[in-house]
Amino acid sequence: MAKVLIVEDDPSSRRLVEFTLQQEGFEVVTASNGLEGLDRAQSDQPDVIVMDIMMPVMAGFEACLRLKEIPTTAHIPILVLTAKGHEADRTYSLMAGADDYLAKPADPEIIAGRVRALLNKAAGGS
Amino acid sequence: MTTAPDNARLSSARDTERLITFQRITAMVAASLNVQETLDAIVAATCELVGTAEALIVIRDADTGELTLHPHPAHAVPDAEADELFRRSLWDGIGAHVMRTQKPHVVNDSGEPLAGPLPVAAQAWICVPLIIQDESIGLLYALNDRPTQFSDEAVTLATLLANHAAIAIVNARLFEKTESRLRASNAVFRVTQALAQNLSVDEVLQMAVEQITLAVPSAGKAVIHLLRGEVLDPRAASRKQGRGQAPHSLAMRAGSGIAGRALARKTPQVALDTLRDPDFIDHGTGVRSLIVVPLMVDDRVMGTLSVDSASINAFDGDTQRLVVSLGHQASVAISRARLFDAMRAEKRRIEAILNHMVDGVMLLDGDGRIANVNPALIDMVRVPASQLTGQLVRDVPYPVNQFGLDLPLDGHDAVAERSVQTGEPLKKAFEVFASPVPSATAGWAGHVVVVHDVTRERELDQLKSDFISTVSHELRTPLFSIRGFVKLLTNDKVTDDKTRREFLSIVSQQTDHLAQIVNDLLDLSRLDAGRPIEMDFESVDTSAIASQVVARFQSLAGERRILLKTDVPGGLPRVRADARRLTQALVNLVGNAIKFTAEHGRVTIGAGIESPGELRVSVTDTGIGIPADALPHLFERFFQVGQPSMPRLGGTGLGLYITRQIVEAHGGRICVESTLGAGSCFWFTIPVDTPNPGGNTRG
Repeated sequence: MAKVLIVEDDPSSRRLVEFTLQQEGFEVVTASNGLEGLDRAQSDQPDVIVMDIMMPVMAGFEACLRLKEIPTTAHIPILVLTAKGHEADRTYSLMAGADDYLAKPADPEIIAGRVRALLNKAAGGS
Repeated sequence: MTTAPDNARLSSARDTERLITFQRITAMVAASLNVQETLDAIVAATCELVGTAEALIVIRDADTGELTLHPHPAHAVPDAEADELFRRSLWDGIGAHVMRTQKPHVVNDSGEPLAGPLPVAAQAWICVPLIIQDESIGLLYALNDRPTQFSDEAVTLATLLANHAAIAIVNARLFEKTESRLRASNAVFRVTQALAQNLSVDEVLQMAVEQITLAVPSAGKAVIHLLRGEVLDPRAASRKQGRGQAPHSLAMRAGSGIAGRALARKTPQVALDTLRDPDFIDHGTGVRSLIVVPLMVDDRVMGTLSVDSASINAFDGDTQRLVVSLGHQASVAISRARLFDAMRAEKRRIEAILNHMVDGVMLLDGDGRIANVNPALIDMVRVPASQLTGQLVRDVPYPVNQFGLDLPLDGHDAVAERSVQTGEPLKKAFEVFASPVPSATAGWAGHVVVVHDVTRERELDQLKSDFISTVSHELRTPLFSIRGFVKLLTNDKVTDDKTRREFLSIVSQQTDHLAQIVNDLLDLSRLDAGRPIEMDFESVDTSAIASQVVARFQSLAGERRILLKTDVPGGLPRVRADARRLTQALVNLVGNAIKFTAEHGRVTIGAGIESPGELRVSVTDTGIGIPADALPHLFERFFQVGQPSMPRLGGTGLGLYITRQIVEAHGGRICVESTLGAGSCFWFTIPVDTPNPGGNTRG
């Protein structure tokens, strides 16, 4: 069973993504900010990370950059899921090392679809 | 009877006496400039040397035809009519003949004493002309009341004395002419000098009239009138005579009198006998001679210069020409002074504008050097003016060297925006406009650079665009979960009731959150439009509101492992407040406190008595604190604490702004104290509800 790490500070958004992915059969672990996300990524070794951008303590961009610098997490695909709606945010996310980008409000099925696509891509690549 | 040798000796003695007298006259003619005294001496000498009882010199003024008499011995002045007849008799007949022929006329015995034409009943006389440069200017008479055999010698002597008289007159005239020329040129010089000085119109006018009365001794009064519509206003009058306010100094209608004629004809008007001038308006001031010169610039009349005198024929040709010339000088001086006045006023106006302008202004000369800067520019750039003026723009200190714009050659304005650092870390944005100033001849005399500080506008632009992206983020977040959960629920993805209830509760909570954001935005637009927050005052129990707010945030606080509690003593007075708004203010403060406080932190709502009429309500946290430089801006709309090292935490940036508006609408004040890394305390005051006889309060 593939494992997904959700890094999201807004509890209701986190719960929504968690439930949706669980329904799709993923194992889900969560973190409520970027720093916590770094710890969980290293300790839990998820197959995909879903990352929010605007978060306290450590924002999503910085978390992405750090994850790609850590050898044990650098390979994990990251889907940025953010309510920041600017085209620039998509560019920044990809520059920070994210593999895909989705703007809120996105449908739960689409999130699940993107996560699956990232998993397939990673499996094909390895 | 005397003997021949006696006669010879006597004759020789008389010759000596004559010689002495003659030499005295010659010396006097050479030395004295007093023509009156000299002519008196000559007529006396004529009696003595020619041996007549009386002598008389008559001078005829070439310009006026007036006769001046120098008799010996002095005669009583006859009455005016007899005097006039007498004077003319001297000229008619013999006198006119001698003048014309320029030859002595001798009558040894007229046969009987001739009364009438002469002051004495003369029976013998010699009449010789006074000749200056081939022109007869007068006559010398030697007269006896008895028949006299005049010798050739006597005639020669009379002729010599007449010549001396002529020389004396020539000398005196030359001197007088020189002197009056000197006075005239002095006057012209003074008036011209006034041109060079920056004198005001009134100063120039006063100087002109004073100089005219100095230059024209025969003048009584000099007055300058300036046109104001149809009226000639007296603007300057000589003080020479000090007779007080003469009617001459009164305003006159521009169309009347000799002045009116001068204005209409645009030429100087001279009245040598005002009573014979049909246009003369007699004010009873005894003016008998009058010159009025129109003051003109480019064929446009500005006013008049009038010079008067109490005697007729007071002004000879030279004087008239002098007055006219001074009038012309005065015209030029007046128009120059008016121009100066206008320029001075314009200069003062421009200086006032420049000095009080909010925008910086820099004037550049044709070479691109800074000619002038205004105080606002100095204030903006904090570079002393001494380091700017006279320098090329590119050579002066930063940031002024950024303000030189290349002007297009077609004379259009140039505009550019310059971001400069005027201090650490003060960044400023300036909009720079440059306009060419056309020169009087061709090309450009320089240009004007206006520097407009747009820092605040740019900051506001930035705040607004940040605000829009923030608001969109804040709206999308609850929308995301609402939409997502509703979709899950409607697609029957949720099978158990417990989860269904959980999701419905989240949707309801998020909907409230969304509604609150929308309310904040509505408050903002109301406040932006200048409308106050609507208040519905009632008597409110602060501790009840504090408890409600704590209850509302308890689950969030628990989730973040933050201890949220109230610290409100019992028995506090009720406050006069809008309960909904007071709740909103506390919700904003507590929501912020939780957001910026880490796990295991504390957030406390406190209340207490601030003063007899006020409660103090506080929200204290043990959060990350607020940087000191952010504190002054905390209650500004859109403001959010931003630091590169600290991620943005969301929120619209409106909460504290609206909270302050709410507190102030209650008549209270809001403050914040914060230590970075240790926590913050927001507190506000709110008036205690004092029951009044009107009784709209609830006990």
